[in-house]
Amino acid sequence: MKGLYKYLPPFAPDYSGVCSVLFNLNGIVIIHDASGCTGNFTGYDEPRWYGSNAAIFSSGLREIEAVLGDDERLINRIMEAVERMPRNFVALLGSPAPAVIGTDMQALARILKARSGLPVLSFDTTGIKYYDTGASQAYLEIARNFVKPWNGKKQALVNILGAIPLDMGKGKRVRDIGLLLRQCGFSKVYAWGQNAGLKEISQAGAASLNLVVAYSGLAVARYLHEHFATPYMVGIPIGQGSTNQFMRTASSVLGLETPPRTTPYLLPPNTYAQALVIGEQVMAGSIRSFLRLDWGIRKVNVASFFAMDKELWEEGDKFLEEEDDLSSLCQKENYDLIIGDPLYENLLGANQGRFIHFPHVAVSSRLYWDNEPACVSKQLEGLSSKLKTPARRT
Amino acid sequence: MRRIAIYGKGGIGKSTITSTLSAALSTMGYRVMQVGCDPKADSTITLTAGKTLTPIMDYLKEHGKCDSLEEITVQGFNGIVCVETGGPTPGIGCAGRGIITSFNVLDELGAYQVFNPDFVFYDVLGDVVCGGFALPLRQGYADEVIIVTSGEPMALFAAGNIKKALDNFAERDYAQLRGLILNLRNIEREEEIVYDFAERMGVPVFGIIPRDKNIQLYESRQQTVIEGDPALNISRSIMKLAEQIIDLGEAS
Ligand SMILES: Nc1ncnc2c1ncn2[C@@H]1O[C@H](COP(=O)(O)OP(=O)(O)OP(=O)(O)O)[C@@H](O)[C@H]1O
Ligand SMILES: [Mg+2]
Repeated sequence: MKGLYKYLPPFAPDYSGVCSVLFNLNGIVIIHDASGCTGNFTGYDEPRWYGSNAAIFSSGLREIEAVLGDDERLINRIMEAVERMPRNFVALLGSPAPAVIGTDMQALARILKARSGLPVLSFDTTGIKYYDTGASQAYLEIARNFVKPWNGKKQALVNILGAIPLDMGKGKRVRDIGLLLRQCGFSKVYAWGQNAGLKEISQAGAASLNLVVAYSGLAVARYLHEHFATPYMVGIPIGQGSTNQFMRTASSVLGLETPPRTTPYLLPPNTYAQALVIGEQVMAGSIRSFLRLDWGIRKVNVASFFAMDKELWEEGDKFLEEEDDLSSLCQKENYDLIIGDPLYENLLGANQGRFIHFPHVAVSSRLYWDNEPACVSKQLEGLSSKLKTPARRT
Repeated sequence: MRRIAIYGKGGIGKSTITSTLSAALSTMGYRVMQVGCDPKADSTITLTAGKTLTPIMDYLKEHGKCDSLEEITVQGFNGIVCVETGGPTPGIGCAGRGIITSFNVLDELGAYQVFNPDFVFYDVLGDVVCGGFALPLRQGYADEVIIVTSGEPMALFAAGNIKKALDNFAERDYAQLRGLILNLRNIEREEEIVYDFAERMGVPVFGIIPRDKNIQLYESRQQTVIEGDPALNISRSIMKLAEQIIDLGEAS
């Protein structure tokens, strides 16, 4: 049946994307909901939640307030929180109930800003869109609100954009990318959504380079390019070939050179004729580059249930609107190698070659987030070793 | 671009006056867009004779999403851009949310940039019954509100409620009430009653529209009186109203 999801759990929603980006910025984040949405984020979409001191709250919306449109109570509760907890800003997020009754988040933000004197960000999240649109908006909003004007000389500073756990896992991959960037000569590496605080983010105009590691970082990279002429690079260095290219491009921005590293490890020719990578577009595209450069696979398609940008699109790529789209794609094409979240396995049909597990937190939540395969640069073995396990179906 | 929301009691003549006003402004050379915000989807019928306009909600119901303005707009009389939000059949669903969803579609497709009208009219159903019907008042949509009323108590009561809603929104930077249009029902002392009322609300009365059978005559041909016969008295009073609305913009 069209649009029916039989195998996949609900994907991480837009408000989770926003919360994830704002997680480490020391603000008060309020989801205007009855608390289920907040519980969904803290319980299933955010590996950093337990033990953190992030101030992410539910507004505790009740039926009577929704029916009567009583926004004053929400405003008063937020003002109480603001007075009790000194924080940098307030963020107000929507959820399905306020979306249906049309709560005007922007208007509430204007009122809160006037009353509290703090910056107030508002998001028309509905719980109906996916995390990537929410995260993308959140990155843009923090850039618009907190990046200071900059006319000075560019510094050896690079921002990593899109590095939230929903796409990049718990942090190891982002730290690995950071290490590579330091080797390229960048002394300041600020991953928005991970280690960067508002102070670091405010300096973004001084960056010589922005690195986009997920779709959610694209819009803000374009914004920073427009306002500060900072070039951006898209992709995660996976395997030797990509890592060499990555290092070369990144260091050339600073006018430096890096020595080429070990030569790519190529599989015997024709091990795989055609491959499919299912997942977030930037990660999937980076795995595609790896499969081409290191494994010599010529035909690699990317398919995704999440937003796909034209700039990264290649002939044969497919946006998946529903489960059936993935099944029919696999039926139509004869992929002998598929890489994607383990939960996709049931949708791939009978006559497929090998399936390599590459978990995506936005899809499988906490099921695999404690043992994510390392993939950056030389940690590639984590991914390739899976190949040695016997093929599920051949 | 001037963006004006027209409110007023159900059946008072909002759609009739809005369409005639749109027609009048278009004959004066202005580019006009009229957005019907009513599940009945009948705001623009006298402007779109002979053409089929699919209400946004009908289109979404059938296709899931909308990728092109052509599917949900029609250029009616004199090139007036006509849009109807539409909505659920009475008794089910959520008409207010229908307006919110429709406005999101117009925004996403860049309707205001594409058509770049001089005037946008939002013709909004009856009273402001829920959040969705207040949407045209929000920042980013209408800047001005005009209420259509007669001298009948229920019409004035509704007008008073709309004013109350606007006062409630004072802190939110919503649209401003500019004044009243008096659509005569020919009750006793009607003008006096409405002028008194307007004074108490602190707003002017712009136009006085007489009751006129020609409105029904041309309505039955799916035309406004401006299209039907611009020389009629009723057409001339609407032209005068149009001029007042233009002046209002120049004054501010
Ligand atoms: N000045 C007038 N003279 C004669 N008839 C009029 C006049 N104004 C309105 N009417 C008639 O009143 C009827 C109702 O008007 P209209 O549909 O414009 O009201 P409305 O306020 O848009 O109603 P709703 O709230 O249901 O949308 C129409 O059939 C119209 O012909
Ligand atoms: Mg009407």
